[in-house]
Amino acid sequence: MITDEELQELEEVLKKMEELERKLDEDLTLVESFKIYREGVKLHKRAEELLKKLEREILMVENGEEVRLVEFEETTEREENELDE
Amino acid sequence: MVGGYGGDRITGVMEEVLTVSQLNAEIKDVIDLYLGNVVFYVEGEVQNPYLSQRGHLYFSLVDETSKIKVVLFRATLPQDWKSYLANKKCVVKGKVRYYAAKGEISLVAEELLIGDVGEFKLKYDAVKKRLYEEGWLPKSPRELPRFPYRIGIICAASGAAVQDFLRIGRKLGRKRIYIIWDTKVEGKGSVEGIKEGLRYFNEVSRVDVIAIVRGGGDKKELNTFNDYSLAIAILNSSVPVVTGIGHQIDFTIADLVADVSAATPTEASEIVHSVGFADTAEKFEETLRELERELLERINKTTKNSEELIRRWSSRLKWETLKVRGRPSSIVSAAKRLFAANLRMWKRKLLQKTKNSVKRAKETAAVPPLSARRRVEHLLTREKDALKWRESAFKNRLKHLLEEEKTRLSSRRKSLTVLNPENTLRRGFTWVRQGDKFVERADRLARGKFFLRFYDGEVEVVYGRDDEK
Repeated sequence: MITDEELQELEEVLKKMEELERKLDEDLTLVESFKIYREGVKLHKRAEELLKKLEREILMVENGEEVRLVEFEETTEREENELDE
Repeated sequence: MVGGYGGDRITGVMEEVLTVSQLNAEIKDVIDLYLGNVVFYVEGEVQNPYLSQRGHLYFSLVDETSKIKVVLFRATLPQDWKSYLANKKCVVKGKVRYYAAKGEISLVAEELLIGDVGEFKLKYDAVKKRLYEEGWLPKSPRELPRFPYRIGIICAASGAAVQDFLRIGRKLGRKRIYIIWDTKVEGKGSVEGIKEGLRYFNEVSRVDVIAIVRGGGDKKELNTFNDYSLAIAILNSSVPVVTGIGHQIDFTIADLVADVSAATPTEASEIVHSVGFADTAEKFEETLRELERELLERINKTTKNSEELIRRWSSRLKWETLKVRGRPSSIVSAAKRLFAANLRMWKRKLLQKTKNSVKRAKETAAVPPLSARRRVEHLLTREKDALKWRESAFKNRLKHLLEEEKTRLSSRRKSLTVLNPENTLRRGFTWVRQGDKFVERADRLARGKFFLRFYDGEVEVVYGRDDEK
């Protein structure tokens, strides 16, 4: 389970990735490109680690308590098709 | 009322006597000018409806103290108009027209908003007007967080809206924490329930974004979302709010004040889930791969260029070295020039130093004149010695260079002497020349006249029989 700090870090990492992608549109020297590549590899590695900690969970507030639901996670193929249509 | 139709009040006396038609025409011009393009929503009760032979509907719209004639032309008349109008309250949407022939003002209806629809529209307009008056609107909507993870959903948990919302997230493969606040979304208690949900997601279990969703319904049901206090709760939410209420044609005050208003719950979900964490990382991974390929190409190209540059400079260096070796005299003369220039500089410096020393000595009162002179003399002697030493060192260096050069020249002379062909002839060898060419092989010697070259001269010889001569 991901902590709030890790979630914040993930958000920052992803934003940095997007920033680097924008930087790559600029006219860069070989050294600058290589720096971005090295930084990008580090960021991607960290993002992968954090992404593994994300979960999908559905909770319902009942009498002030957040209770986990399971029935919403089951979706039949027919329902998916209906949704596609 | 949006916009306005006011202006300066017209005053004065018309001196000309008008006919009734002329007066009515004047009135019509004024009404058309100021009210002709204004759309009114007028609420009242229907009285004396009458359908003309041409199919137009005429009736009076009345309240406690006033009434106005209304006409609804055949093209806009609903087929079941009778059931709509029987002593019912309604809202007429239309424009004011003045009929000069009868001197009557009518409301030409474009639309009849009967019962709940009228109520919905009235409430929507009244709350919207109030929010504008109080300065809540227009609102600058906040941007939704780029990567919302905790999503609060305010909805009827048993309804289809929340199912649609969750399905979209699942279909897109998003990993999110959804927290559902189950509440009534229509009728009594619905406004309070939704407001409580907003409070919960702001103060108790904070989320990144709040989605208020419900499916379609009639206008009366959707009126919950036109509530003033609910609008204020949404406006006060520190968490961004997305609405997905009803169908595409429905637009409520909640939609107006939300940060993002989607047409349906499904669309609201698509907006909230538009950016995926993993998608962003995957896209970036692809970018990294492309960058890696590009870097390799660029490095290869740069290496090739560097090698070419080194090769070019290396040959240039060799060539320059050869040029320098071939011109020893130019080195010597350059060294001489350099020495002369340095000597002039040293002399200048020495002169300046001496002058400065003398000046300082004169300026220093505590130092006796004799002592100052001695110091100057000492300084001069030291500088002279230094100069002599430098001169001698330079001469030695120059001498050494010249010696080296002499040795190199002598060695070359010896080589040339050894290679001199005259020396070979002196050792008893001869050259054979026939015409302009020297003959190296016997089979190339033609019959006839040829010459033998000795070191001290040439002898003519004939090759062949005497009779061939």
